[in-house]
Amino acid sequence: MNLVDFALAVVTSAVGAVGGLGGAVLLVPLLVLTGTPARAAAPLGLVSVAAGSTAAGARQLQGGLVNHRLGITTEVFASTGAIVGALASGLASDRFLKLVLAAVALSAGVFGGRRKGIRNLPQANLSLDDVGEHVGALSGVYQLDDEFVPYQAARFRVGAALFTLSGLIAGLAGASGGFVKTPATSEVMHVPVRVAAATTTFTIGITSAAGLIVFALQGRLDLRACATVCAGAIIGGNAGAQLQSRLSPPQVRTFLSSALVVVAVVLALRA
Amino acid sequence: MRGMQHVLQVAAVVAFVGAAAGALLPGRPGRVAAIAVVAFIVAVPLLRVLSLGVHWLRLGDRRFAGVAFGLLLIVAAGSLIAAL
Repeated sequence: MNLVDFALAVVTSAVGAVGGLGGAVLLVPLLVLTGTPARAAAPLGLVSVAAGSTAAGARQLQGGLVNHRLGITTEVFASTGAIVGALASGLASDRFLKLVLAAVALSAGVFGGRRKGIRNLPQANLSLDDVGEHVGALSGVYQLDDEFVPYQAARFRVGAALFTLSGLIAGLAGASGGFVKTPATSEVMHVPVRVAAATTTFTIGITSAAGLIVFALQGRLDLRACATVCAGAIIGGNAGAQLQSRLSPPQVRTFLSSALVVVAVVLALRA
Repeated sequence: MRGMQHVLQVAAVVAFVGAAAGALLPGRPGRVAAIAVVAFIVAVPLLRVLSLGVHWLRLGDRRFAGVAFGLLLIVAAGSLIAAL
C-alpha cells in the first residue's frame, strides 16, 4: 500500500465531504506532485469521489441533509452538459478551460464568503417529523441544532442553466464539477449550504461512477492504487460528513469559500 | 430513507474491507478484491438512483421517478458514447 496516496485520499476526501466539492480537484494535482502519472491520477480522483460519496451518504441521510429530488433533477442538466462537453472536448484548449474553472471557483468562493447571516430561518411550528424532502417538490426541512429549517429551491431555471454550464465545462475539462454545483445550489438556488453540500456529495458520486465506467473500459485503472485511494477516501468521507454535521451554516460557508479559493489557485497553477 | 441509510452504512464498511484487502493482499486475491471494490463503488450510486426511482414510483411521485430513470439513461448513454 502506498501510504502517501492513502493519506492524501483521507485528507482530500474529508475536505470534499465538508464542502460538497468532491476531493478529486485537490487529490489529482497532489497525486501528480507526488509522482503519480497524470494519466493514472484522473481515475484515482474519481475513485476517491465515488468512495467518499458512499461513505458520507449514510451520515448525511441521518441528518436529513440530502435532497434527492433536487440532486437528481439538477444532475440531469449537469450530466447532459458533461456529455456534450466531453464530445466537444478539443474545441477549447486545456489551459483556457482550467483558467475558466479557476475564475468560476474564485468568484464563487469570494461571493459566498462575503455573504453574512443565514438566509433560511428556523420555524417554531416544525418538528423532527417534518425533516426530509417534500414529495413532488424541490423543497424540504432540515434540522439545525434543536430547530427545524424549511427551504425551497428558488430560481430553478437559472440554476438549471448553471448546472448545464457547469457540466459542460466539467465535461470539457475532465473535472467532477462539485466546486461549481455546491455554490450554484447554495448561492443561486438559495438552498441552505449544508443541504447543498450534502446533496452535491450525493450527485458527484453518480458523475464519478459514470466516469469510472469509461476509464475501466479504456483500461486506465491501476487497481492496487484504486483500492488504496478507496480505503483512504472512505475514512476521509466519513470524517468529513461527521465534521460537517457539527459545523454551523456560516462555518460551512466559510470553509467552502476557503476551499474554493484553494481550488482556484490549484487550477490556475495547473493551467 | 432509514433503509437506504442502513444500506449505505453497510456499503461503506464492505467497500472499506474490500479496498483494504485490495491494497494489502498480494497477488491474485488482492487483484480480485480491487476489481470487486471498484465495481462496487461504481454500482452503489447508480443503484441508489434506481432505488429512489422505484421508491418514488410507489409513492405516486411519477414526475421525479421519471427524472431518476431519465438520469440513469443519460449516464448509460454518456458512458456508451464515451467508450465508443
